[in-house]
Amino acid sequence: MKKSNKYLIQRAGWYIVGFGLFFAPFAFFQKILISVFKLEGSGDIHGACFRMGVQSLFTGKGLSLLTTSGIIVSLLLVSALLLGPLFCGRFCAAGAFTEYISRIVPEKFKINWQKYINPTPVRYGILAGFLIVPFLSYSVACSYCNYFLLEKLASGNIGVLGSTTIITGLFWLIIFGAFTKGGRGYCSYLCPVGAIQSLLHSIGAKFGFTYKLKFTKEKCVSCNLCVKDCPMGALQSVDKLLKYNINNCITCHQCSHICPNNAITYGQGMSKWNEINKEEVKVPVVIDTRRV
Amino acid sequence: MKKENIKKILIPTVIFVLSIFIVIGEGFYRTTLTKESISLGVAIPSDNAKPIVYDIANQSTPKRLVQPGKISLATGHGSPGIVNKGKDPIAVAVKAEGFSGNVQITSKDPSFVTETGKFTNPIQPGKDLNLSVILDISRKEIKNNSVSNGNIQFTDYNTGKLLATIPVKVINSKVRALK
Repeated sequence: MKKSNKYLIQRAGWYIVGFGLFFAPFAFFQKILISVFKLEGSGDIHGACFRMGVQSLFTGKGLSLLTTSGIIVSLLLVSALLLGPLFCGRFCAAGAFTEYISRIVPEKFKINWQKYINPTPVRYGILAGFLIVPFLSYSVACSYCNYFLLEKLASGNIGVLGSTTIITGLFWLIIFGAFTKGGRGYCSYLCPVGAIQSLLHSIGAKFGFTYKLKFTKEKCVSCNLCVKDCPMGALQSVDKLLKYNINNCITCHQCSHICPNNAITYGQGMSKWNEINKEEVKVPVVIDTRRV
Repeated sequence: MKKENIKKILIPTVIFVLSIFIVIGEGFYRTTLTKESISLGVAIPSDNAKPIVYDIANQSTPKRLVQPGKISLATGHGSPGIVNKGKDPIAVAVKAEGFSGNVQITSKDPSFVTETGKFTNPIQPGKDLNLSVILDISRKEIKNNSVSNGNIQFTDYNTGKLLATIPVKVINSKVRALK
């Protein structure tokens, strides 16, 4: 079996673990925090609500560390700073669900949105809007939540769906899910939880002691396999240049596992991605002279 | 070169600002949907619980297209809930009567038994209970002006006393009433 396919299965295992940890009916992480550490919280995804937690933290409402949500959001933010978007790349079952569905859909039916619209300003704009709306007395934390929708789908009983949930399902599962290259269009463009993690990762990656994806230009043979397999479109071939967008990377390590020459690795130290754009890594163009 | 640099800064900035407005628009849209679900609230015991009127016409387009017949009446999200305003604990049973179509009554309270509609732990004075009532109405019935009428009844299953009755009327004001 190809190394990349083996790693896909390995990642799927992690996402199943993530589902068991944070989503009802299991939500083991919340239940351990409630029963063992006597913290306040809910034994379902609301007890790990990153959306409400992030919103409360950055809009001055504050976040109590004596709650399941407080602990989980704190871990999320610290891990993002030191290790990259660990939750997104390892444990988020909502993002993984659409990624794996999209892998079944033929390429010709999928759109590579990240090639046409840079996700960075969009996802940070969505994050900024997410943090601004409470000051306008609006609420979007629960209304457009794909985590809760996944929990409903997994329970086998979707119950009553409101209009905003239906719209979320349409974008998360279909437009930005199954029919998007990589299947993680919702993660790329619309998820404020992923955006805050990416923001922290882009800051943390400037320090040598944090973990990040690193590039060794000398080992790269410009095969473009990493570009094709990146679920977030964080790696793009633009004008025959290999471009890495750390603001859209979830450090899932799919690229490092598909690279035949270990040109991409994960660890401490300097990333060296910026250096390659200065010297231009060119993707060779082969012209078929038989048809000329 | 300068034009390229301006483009590199201007376009992402415009997209960033547009994205903020998209979220603000999402928030505004959400406020127009408050009537898509109904908050349940009554103080028990009560002789005159406020009737609930649900108008299908208040549903927004996505709801109307995908799931118009599934209606939620629930405590939480700002509602005072079902509160024991008495001085003694009450053993509460919940029942839905008179509705056409299926009715599903659930609660996050672990003491609630779905099959019997009973809260096995009595509700203490001043405390409230979590409840969700889901009405499932066929698309055929939604095309009537008067869609469905029924009651949600709260009884004390130890004494048999009726604690409260909430009349619920589901209408579709987009359809003209028959004379």
